[in-house]
Amino acid sequence: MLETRNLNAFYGKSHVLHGVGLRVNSHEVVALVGRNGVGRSTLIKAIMREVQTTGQIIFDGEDLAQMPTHQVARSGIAYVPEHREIFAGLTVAENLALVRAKPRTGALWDIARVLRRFPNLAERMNTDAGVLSGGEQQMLATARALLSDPKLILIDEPTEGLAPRIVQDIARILHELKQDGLAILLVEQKLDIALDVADRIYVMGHGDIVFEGTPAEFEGHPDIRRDWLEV
Amino acid sequence: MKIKSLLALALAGTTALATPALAEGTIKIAVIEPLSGPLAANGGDILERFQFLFGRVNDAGGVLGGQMFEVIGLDNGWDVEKTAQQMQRAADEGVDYVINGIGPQHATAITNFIRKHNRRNEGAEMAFLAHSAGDNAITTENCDYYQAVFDPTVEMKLNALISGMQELGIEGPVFTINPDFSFGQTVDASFKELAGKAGIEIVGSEMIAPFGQVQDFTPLVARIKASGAKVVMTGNFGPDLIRLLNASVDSGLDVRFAALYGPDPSTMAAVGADKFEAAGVIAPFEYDENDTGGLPVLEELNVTYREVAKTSWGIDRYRMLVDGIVGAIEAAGDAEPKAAMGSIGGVKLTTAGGEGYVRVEDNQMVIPYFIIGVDKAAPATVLYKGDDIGFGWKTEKIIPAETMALAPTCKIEKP
Amino acid sequence: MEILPFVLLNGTLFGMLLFMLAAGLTLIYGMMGVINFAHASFYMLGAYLGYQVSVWAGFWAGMIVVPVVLGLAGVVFRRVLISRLAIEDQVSQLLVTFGAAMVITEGVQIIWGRLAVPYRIPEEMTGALFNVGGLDFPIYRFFILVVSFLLFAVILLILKQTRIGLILSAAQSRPQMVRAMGYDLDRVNDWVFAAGVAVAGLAGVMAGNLLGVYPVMAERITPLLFVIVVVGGLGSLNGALIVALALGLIDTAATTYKLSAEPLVTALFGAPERGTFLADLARFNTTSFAPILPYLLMLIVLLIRPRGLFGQRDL
Repeated sequence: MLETRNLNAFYGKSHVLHGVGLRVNSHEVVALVGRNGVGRSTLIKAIMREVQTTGQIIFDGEDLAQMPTHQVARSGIAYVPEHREIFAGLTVAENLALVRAKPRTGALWDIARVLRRFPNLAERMNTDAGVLSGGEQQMLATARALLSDPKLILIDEPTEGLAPRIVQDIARILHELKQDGLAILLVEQKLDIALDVADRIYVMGHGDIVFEGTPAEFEGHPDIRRDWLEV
Repeated sequence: MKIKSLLALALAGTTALATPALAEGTIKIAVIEPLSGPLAANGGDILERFQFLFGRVNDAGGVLGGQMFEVIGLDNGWDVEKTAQQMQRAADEGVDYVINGIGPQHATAITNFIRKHNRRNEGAEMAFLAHSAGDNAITTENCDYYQAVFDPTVEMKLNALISGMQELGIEGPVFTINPDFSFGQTVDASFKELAGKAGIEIVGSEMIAPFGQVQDFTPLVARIKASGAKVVMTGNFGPDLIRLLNASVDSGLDVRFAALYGPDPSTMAAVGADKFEAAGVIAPFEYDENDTGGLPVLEELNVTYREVAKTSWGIDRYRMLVDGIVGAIEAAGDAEPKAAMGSIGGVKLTTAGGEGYVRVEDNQMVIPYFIIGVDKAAPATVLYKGDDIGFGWKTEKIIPAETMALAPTCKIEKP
Repeated sequence: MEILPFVLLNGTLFGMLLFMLAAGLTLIYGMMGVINFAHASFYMLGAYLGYQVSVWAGFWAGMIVVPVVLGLAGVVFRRVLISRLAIEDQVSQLLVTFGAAMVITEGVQIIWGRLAVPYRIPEEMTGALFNVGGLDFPIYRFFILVVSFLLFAVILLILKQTRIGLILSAAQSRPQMVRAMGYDLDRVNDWVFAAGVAVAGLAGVMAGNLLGVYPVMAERITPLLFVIVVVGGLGSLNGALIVALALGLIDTAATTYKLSAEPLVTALFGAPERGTFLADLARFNTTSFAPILPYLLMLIVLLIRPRGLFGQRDL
C-alpha cells in the first residue's frame, strides 16, 4: 500500500534520512521505533511532504514525492501529528467540522460513529479545544483523522506526555483501530505498546532502518534492542 | 591615462546628449526647474513656455538687430543640491540669464551662487530672473543688481486680494487655512497683518500639514461653521485644496473661498465647475484668459499656444519676464547682464490690466492685478492635458498698479 | 456641541475607510505572515482605475469592474512576489513590497500624470441627505458609510458563520496542519489576497472622488494603516476595526475641538514672550497634535502590549 524507496530527507543542509525503504501493507499496523533524533518523525513528515526529500514514496501506485501536502492528504492518508496540532480557539465541534468532505464513497466514518468511539468528545463538543486535557486532545486529533475516512493513518507519538492511565486508553484505542482494519504507521516511544499492537516493526538508527520484522522476530534479537533502543 | 581620457570623453558625450552644445554668439538662457521627480510636469510646462516665448522673439528678428536667444532646460530634480550643481554647469556653459521659480529654497541657492560667481568672474556675470516670488524675500530683503522678480510678492498679492474683497463686498469674518511650511506661514502672517489694517475680522485660523497628509477636512469644516466665518482665505494647493473645497461644498458650508491657488488647472479639473461655483472661489491672479484687455499679443497667444501645447495660455507673467529682459537689452543696447540689468528697472510692461513696470529700487515687477471669479459660462475654457475643463474665469475686479506697489523695502546698490 | 453628530458621522466614515484598507492588510499578514507595504498602492490603483472606468463606462461600472480586476492583479502579485518570500525573512519582505509600492507609484504617474485627475462624484449622488447642526451630510458620504458597513457585515458573516471562516482561523495558527487535512492553502491564500486587495481597491474607487486622486495618496495613508494593524494586533480583524474607528473619531474630534495650551500657559506663567520655551508650549494644540497622535498611540501600545490590543502573538 505504502512503500518508500531510497528515501532521503533534509533539513536545510543536514541530511536526516539516508535511503530509507519501508513498507506498510493494507490493514497492517506498522510501528516505527528508535531512539530520539534518529529520524522517525522526519520519516512521517517526509510522507506528508513537510520536509525536502529525494527518492520515492509510492502510495497506491502513485508517487507522493511529487505531490504537495494537501494532495497527499486527499489521496487517503490521515495524519495525527506529534503534538496533536488541534486548533485552539475553535471548539471541538469546529475542529471536527474542519475535516474536508470525503472524496470517497461509502464513508465508513461519520461523525456519529466517531463520537461513539470517543464519548468524552461528544460531551465536550462546544468546549474550546485549547482547554482540553492532553488525552482528550489526542482523541480529538485521532477523531479528526478518522473522519476523513483514510486508507492509511500516520500516528506520531500518541502517548507522549500523557499520564499512565491515559496511555492505557490510547493503547486501547490503537487496538480498536487495528480491529477496524485500518492501516496504521505508528511512531511510538513506548516499546511495549508498539510491540503489543504492531503486526511488524521497524527499528531506526541514524537515519536508516536497522531492523525489520514481526514482534516475535524482534524478541529474538536482543542485540538490536541493546544497540539501538536502550539508553 | 588612456582610461582617464576615455572616461572624460564618455562624460563629455553624455553631457552633450543631455544638453545640446550652446552656439557661439547667442544670448544664453537656462531654465533651471524640476524636469524629473514629483514636480516634473510643472517644470516641463515652464520650460516649454519659455522656449515658445523666446522662439517668438527670435522669429521676429531677435534683439539688437539680429542677436538670437538660446534656451536650455537644466533639471534640478527639486533638489537644492542639484540646483547648485546645475548653476555651476550653467556658468561653465557661459549662460547669461537663469530663470527659475518653483520652490523658494532653489531661488535662494541661485541667488547665493550668482553673488559669489559675479564677484569672482568679472566680465562673465550671470543674472537671475525669477518668475515666482514664492515666500522668498528676493526683492524685499535680498534685492540685487543681478536679479529681478516677475511676480508680485506675497504681500502685494494679498494686498490686492484684500482690496478686491473690500470692493466686492466680500468682507465678512474670515477663517484662514494655510499649509504649515515657510510659504504658508508667510501667507498667514501677511494676511492677518493686512486684514488687521483693513479692519477685516479674523475669527479662526489653521495651519495644516501640507501635501495631502490631512485626509479628512470635514472637522475643519465644522470648525469654520462654528466660527461663523463668511470667507475662507487659503494658500493651500493640490490635494489639500481639492479636499478642502470638496468637504466644504459637500457639507453645504455657506462661505466664499479666497484661494490663492484656485486657478490651478488640475485642481479645477478635480473639483469641477459646480463646486467651484458653489464655493464662490475668487483668486488674485495676473491674467484672465477671458479678459485680454484687447491686447493683440494675448489674443494671439490664447489661440496659438493652445494649438501648439494643447494647453491654454492661462499664465502671463512668463511673457512679462521675456518682455522685461528684451526691453532691458534693447534699452541698454547690450545683451550682457552687466549692462542689461542696469536698464531692467524702469522697463515698461504691457499687461491685460493696463501698463506695468519693473521698479527701479528693487527690480520688482509691479503690474495691475486681477481678482478673478468662477465663470461657468466663460467662452474660453481652460484646457487640461488637452481636455476641456468646462469652465473658466471672469474678471471681478482689476487692482491698479498704484495699489499694488507697496513701498519697496530694499534698495539695489549698483556695482 | 450641535456639530457633534456631524463630527461623529464623518469620523466614523473616515474610520471605516481606513478599516477597508487595514482589514486586508491584517488578514493577509495573519494568513501569509507577510507585511505588504504595497497594500495601500492597491487603494491608489483602485482610485485611478475607478476614475478611468468612470470615464469609459460610468462610476457604477467602476464599483464592480475595478475590485474584480484588482483582485486578479492581487493574485498575480502574490504568486510572483509574495509567495516566494520566506515568512522569517522580513527584510526581503520589506524590500520587495516597498519596491513594488514605488513601482506602482511611478507607473501611475507615467499613465495618468503627476497631477490630480478629475474624478468626480457621480451626478445622481450629489446633494445632501440630511442636515446636522447647520451642515449637510452628503448622500455620497452616506453611500460610502453604507457600503463599508455592508462589507464589514459580509466579512464578519463569512469569518464567523462559514466553513471558510473556520479554515482561515485554523490556518492562522496551524497552517501545516490545515494543509495536512487536504486543504490547498496556496489556493486559499490566493483568495484571501485577492479579497483583501479588492476591498482596498473598492475603498479607492469610493474615496478617490472624495479625497482626490493623485500619485502620493498611497504613501500618505500607509503609515496610518500600519498604526491600525499594529495597535489592533497583527492578524486581528476586530482589532483593526476598533482601532480604525477610534483613529477616525480621535483625529476628527481633535481637529474639530481645537484645545490649545495657550490659556493654561498664560494663566500659570503670564503671557509668554515670543521665541521663548513658554511661547512654544503655548502654541501646542490638539489640532496640530492630531497627526502625531496615532504614532504616539502605537508607541505606547508597543511598549505596554507588544502584540497589540487584540493580537495573538508578539511582534
